[in-house]
Amino acid sequence: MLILRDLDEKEEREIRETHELQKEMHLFLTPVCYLNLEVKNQEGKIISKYKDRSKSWVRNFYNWQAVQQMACPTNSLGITYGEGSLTIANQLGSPRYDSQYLFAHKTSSLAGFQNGIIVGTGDDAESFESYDLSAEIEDGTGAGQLQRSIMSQPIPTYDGVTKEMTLELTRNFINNSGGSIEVKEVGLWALFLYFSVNSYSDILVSRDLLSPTVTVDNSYKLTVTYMIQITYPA
Amino acid sequence: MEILKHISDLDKKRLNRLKEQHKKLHLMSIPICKMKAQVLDKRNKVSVSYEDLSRSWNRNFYNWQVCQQMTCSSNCMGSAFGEGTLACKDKDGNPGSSNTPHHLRTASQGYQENSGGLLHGIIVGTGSTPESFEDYYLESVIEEGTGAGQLNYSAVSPIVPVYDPVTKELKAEVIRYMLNNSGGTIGVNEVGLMVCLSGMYYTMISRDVLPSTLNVLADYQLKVTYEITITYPA
Repeated sequence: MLILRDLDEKEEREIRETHELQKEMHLFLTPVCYLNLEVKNQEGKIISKYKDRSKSWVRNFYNWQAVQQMACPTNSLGITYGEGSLTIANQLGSPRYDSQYLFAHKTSSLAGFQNGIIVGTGDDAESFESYDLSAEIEDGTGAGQLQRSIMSQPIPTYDGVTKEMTLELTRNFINNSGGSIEVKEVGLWALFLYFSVNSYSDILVSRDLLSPTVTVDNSYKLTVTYMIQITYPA
Repeated sequence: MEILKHISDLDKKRLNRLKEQHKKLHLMSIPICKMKAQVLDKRNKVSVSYEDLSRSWNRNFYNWQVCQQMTCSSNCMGSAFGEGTLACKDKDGNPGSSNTPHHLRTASQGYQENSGGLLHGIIVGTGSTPESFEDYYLESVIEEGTGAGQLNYSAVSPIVPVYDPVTKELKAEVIRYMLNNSGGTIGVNEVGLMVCLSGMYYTMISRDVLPSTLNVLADYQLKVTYEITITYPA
């Protein structure tokens, strides 16, 4: 098995120290997000593994959190997208806003939305302003396509000893395209509801550029997992 | 002017250290909350001042944040309130959850409140029981009115945050005035922050107990400010 990338132990230690200081100060403990990729062959044998901390929340994610925590509508600082504004950029880069609060909606009951994990072949540098993958890999069995599995409604697990609430978001991508596919980027999408206009929208909240890239040979399966962890103080 | 407390130099240094660590490690910024309480005399001059970091987000706040960041239904871990579940507890002690994530939906569900209302925004009380992560309402809320032991609560305006492009800080202030028309002195010991989460249940998300009683003399008013800050990475 090929280990393409693994966690940086020094950084993990620094995160633990950060959490210790936050605990001491009785502050909200910073959520941490990890990204894992695993390629398996037809027999289910793991061929390669990639593990890293995801460091790539984009402006959409921050604005979503700010709107909920500060209880202010997305149009309260104007209706353009960018620094100093709370609007959300949709997949085309157009600003979405609302006079009510924006919030994440459950994902399982709505067909036709692509929320969840999507992978791509683009290698544009990560940017805080990203609102789409550089080059999304389409769902299918044609050349350069991967078959995406359905993602179920997320349910976290809780560890009573560590007080960690952990969510694993997993998606499988099967390569039935007939050729190898090199995955270079991973995006996480959430489904938002704009309440005053009763309109849903898929929004990119994180985009990770892979280094090194992950190759999925024909008939191999790629499993991508985002693990989000929030530690409770009690 | 009597200063009951102010934010210590040590805490200021620690906050700066945390900010640097978050930037270096590319961690998501956490909401930093400060609470300021001032007693104003009849000429609006500050007679007593208290300011500290609010360290009192409770289980309700954590569960709301987890639901939003993990996009999971608030009943996905059961409908009871307590460790290991995502249900919130309303001000009357009833657990609340549903098959959507906890969220603020309409602009009337946040911190803004009409004059005299005690369901949103800032409320104060006389109770001094130590803070608990499981708190769901003030121990002894001071009612609206002009009778003995009562305060006249002002309206809480809709929140419009302010962004500083130099520090990249987005700041929201929730402010409320409470006028003592009761004819006697009222001792304030606790401050709470309320919202109305999805499902229309009124929920306290933070309770701060003051280190010593803030006495609001007859015809004096109490001004309470919660300042929530989120630092953007770019």
